[in-house]
Amino acid sequence: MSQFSLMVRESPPTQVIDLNGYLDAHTAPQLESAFQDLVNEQRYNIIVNFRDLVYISSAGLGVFMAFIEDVRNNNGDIKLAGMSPKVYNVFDLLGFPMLYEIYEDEQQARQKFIDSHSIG
Amino acid sequence: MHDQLDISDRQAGHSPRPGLAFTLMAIAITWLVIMGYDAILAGTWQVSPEDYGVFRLLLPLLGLAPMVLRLLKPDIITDDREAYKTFIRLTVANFIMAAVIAILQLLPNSYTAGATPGSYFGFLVGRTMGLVTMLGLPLIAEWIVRLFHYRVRGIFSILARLYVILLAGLLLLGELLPFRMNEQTLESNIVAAAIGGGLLALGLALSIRSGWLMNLRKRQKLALLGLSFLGFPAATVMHLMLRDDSARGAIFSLMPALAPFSTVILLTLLFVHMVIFISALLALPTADAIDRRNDEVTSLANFARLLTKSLETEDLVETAIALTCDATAASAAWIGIREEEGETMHYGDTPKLPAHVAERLMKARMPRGATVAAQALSSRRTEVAERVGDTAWEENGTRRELRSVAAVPLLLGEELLGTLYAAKERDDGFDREEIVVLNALADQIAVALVHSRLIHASMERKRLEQEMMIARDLQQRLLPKVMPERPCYEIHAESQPASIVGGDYYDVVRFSDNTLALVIADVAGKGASAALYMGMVKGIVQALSGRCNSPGELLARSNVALHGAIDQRWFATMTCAQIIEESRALRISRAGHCPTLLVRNGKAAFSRPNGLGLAIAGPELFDANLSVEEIAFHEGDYAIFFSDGLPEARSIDGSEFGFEALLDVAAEAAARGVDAHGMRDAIVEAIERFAQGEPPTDDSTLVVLRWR
Repeated sequence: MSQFSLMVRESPPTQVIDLNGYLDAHTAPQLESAFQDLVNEQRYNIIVNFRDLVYISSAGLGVFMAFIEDVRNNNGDIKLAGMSPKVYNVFDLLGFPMLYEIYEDEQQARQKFIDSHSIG
Repeated sequence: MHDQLDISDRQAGHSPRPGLAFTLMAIAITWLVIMGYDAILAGTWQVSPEDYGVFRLLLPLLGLAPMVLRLLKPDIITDDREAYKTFIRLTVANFIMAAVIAILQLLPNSYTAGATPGSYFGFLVGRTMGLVTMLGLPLIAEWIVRLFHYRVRGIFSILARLYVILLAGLLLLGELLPFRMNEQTLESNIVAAAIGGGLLALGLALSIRSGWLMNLRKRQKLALLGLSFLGFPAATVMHLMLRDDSARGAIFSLMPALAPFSTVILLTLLFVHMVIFISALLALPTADAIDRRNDEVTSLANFARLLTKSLETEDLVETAIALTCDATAASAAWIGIREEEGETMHYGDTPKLPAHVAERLMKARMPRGATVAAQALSSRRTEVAERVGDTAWEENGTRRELRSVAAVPLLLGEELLGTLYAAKERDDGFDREEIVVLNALADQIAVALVHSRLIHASMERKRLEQEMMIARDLQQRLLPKVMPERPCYEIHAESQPASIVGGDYYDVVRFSDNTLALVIADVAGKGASAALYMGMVKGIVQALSGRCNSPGELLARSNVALHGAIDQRWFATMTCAQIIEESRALRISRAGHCPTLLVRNGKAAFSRPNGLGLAIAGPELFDANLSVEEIAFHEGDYAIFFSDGLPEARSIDGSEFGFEALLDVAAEAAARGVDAHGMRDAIVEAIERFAQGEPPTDDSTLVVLRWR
């Protein structure tokens, strides 16, 4: 019933996870293993692209919360980009903009990674 | 006339008619009465038939009437075995009758028709012969008629009926026609001859239906062969004896009606014996095969029946092992059932088989090198290993050995449930027939195993459902039974989980300054885990509220308590609204929860003060981002709190109700001046109309506060 898929691609210096469909308790494990793989490979510059994401539940939100600390402890970040107004509202109600950087466009997020690395 | 296979007939068994004892008594009594009549009233030993008065004529018919009634409505034979027993009774009765009459014949019995007897003794002997015949014939006739009616259909049903009717007719004729004892009765009258001839033809036709002996056991067929072989001459002897003049005179002088009757019956008996003899002879070559086939069918039928009774694996295994040994003449059988940890062997209690022998048999090598067990698993077919060595053991002092083994995979569709093993003492194991039986048994065992599993799973599920129902009940009790009501405000509140239990709740807390506050919360997730956390959150919030005097404080303290309490991904949303009665105001703080819907002066809008969800971040971030809104109301205004189950309610086409639609509904209802319950109805109905029957996917909570 829940249609969901994701794809991971290189966009140096970042890895981009493209989300597609419904992210809920059934499909959240897929996102979780994608994050886990990236962390195992020590890729800590992660952008999540929400352009094709239709819906996210509390289980989906929980996945981000599970990895953010580890990623940030390794000088990386999970930046969120391309949300539809509806999906953004879900994040906004919870106050996620205070905790995560949310951009309209994937390139803005990527640029932020480039900038922060050139400074650091 | 109706078809003998009519169900009602079957179930009735007997229709009302004279009992056997009564029938025989009637004949015996008639015998006495007639003797008495002859001796006393007619003053002679024997009244001549030409001198019969009406009474004397009808007396025998009266005595025979019960017999005729019984013949017209014979007992129904219900199965082949009963038919077999009926035939045996028939033959035995015939033997006994023949023997008795033969013995009596040897004694002096001087009796010719119409003449006076030479002595009292001879007279008595003659009369006794008569009685024996008169009692024996109805029995034999009845059993013959029962056999003729067994499993009879269509034309044969009609013929069987006709046979009895003609018999009755023959009796009547025999009694009413004045013919003389010493003449050949049948030929003396055309009608009688015709009826007699017809009866014999019918008797032959009906006795040919001997299919009932097909399914008897071999030894029963042999018994039939023997009995019919002896019965043939016995019937012949009887027949000849009864044609003897003096015997005839002795026997039939009292009831001449029985004379032609006896001829027909005895000749019919002759036909029946002849046919049974030939049929039994022809059935012998296939008797063994049929016995085996029937045994197999019985085994499988037994197992199918026991299948529904055995729910426990051990019972099932015991039954399966016993039946396998029965049906294939195996000396031992055992079953390996696949579980997560591997295959568990079940040996059952009998026959006792040492584990090492079973191991050796299962590991017997096949010609292609694999063990018989492995081969069966890979080919998914029954494999047989012959001439297996090293499989002897001592049991109660006797040496036992199993030299061949069959491994039968238990398959249900594609799933392999285990393996059935059967072992024999013979070197050359199992023949094709036995393998077919093993396969059939294996199928049944597989079904039984799955059946048992399903039943246990179903029972477990039922138990869990019951527990869920109890949990649901308890969770409903965690919600406040009664919402506070004051002159200046009323509150309606409700919460529905999406499944049986859920993670939403609402509550009323009392702050340290004794003011009341509404709390509405949504714990991450759904179902049982969310329900557990909901209980925890409610407890924490209740405990903390006594030390707070503002919603912001309550949320901040709750966040400290909850942050890290479960794990990184868990969180909760909450809105807390302190009720300030005196100024008709609400002080609202929001921790990540849905905005509050306010309807003031007929206009609907959302209140969405800043605030992170609970347990997402530590106090530094949480407190820094938390705000409080104080909102003043007037009479007739509403404050509506809800959880995301409402705006996320889905319609059939997948679209969501949305936040905006809530504004419209609330404004419209407010314009009508509804009370709190009325506002709730308006919202619920609007969502139901939108959803068009689509069930809710998230927990839904709705709290309406109306100022008055």
